[in-house]
Amino acid sequence: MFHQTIQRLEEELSWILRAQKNPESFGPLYKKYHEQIFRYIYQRMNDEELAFDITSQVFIKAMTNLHKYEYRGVPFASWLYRIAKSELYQSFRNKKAERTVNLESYHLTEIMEEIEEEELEHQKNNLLLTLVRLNEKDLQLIEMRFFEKRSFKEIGEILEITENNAKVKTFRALEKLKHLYKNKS
Amino acid sequence: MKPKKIILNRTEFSSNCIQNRQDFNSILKQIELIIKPPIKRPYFYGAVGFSSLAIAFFTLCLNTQLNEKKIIKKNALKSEKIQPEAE
Repeated sequence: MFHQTIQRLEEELSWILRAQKNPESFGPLYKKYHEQIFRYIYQRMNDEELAFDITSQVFIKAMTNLHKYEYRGVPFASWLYRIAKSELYQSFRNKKAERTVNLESYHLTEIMEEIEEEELEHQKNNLLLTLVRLNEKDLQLIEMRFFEKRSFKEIGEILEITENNAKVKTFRALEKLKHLYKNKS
Repeated sequence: MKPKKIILNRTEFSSNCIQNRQDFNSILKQIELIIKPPIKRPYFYGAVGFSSLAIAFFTLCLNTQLNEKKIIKKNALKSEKIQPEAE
């Protein structure tokens, strides 16, 4: 969904140009990205109504600032994700929402494999406790790479860094997690 | 900012459920309120009306003052003209 062909990107750009003149033309972009943006926000909090509200705020902000949007050859979604991130962290600062980490059991198993640990129940609990000790930037990288299964290219586009830099930073975040985990164990 | 909660295996929303919550019309309505041109906003007319009234009032006051000054000047001239004749 995130990575698209050049034709798709050009089609998207034509929607954006139309929407810059007439907000009603933003409809197809809203339909296309609403679910992705909602899932990104809800992944980091646990209040569904607030997550829907923040999603709406993201689109309102995107539409009111659409005249500032500049096409840089990356999907429009990366711009929306940046707005979503800013709205989300604003809600954390305002204490409207609580920062939450949502994950599945198999995500833990995968991380255990990455940090070369045996998978035991008490170790999983230790890993959970270690995850919350990570700083926000590292947690974001782990979240995007392992819980949301995003490619490094996509992570790079969302964080406005290169694909290679995203790879390096994620590796470092994983190393920090490993270090914290070993110290805890 | 540290996360306060970790939630394991939460039931996620289905795509249908999220799509049912899409409401582009309400987004458009809010956008209209935000980016409505000033000329279409009610307060614009309030401001314009108030300024027009203020301008009209000041013009009237200024006019009255000018008229009064003119009358005084005329009267003074008249009295000046009358005085030498009396002498």
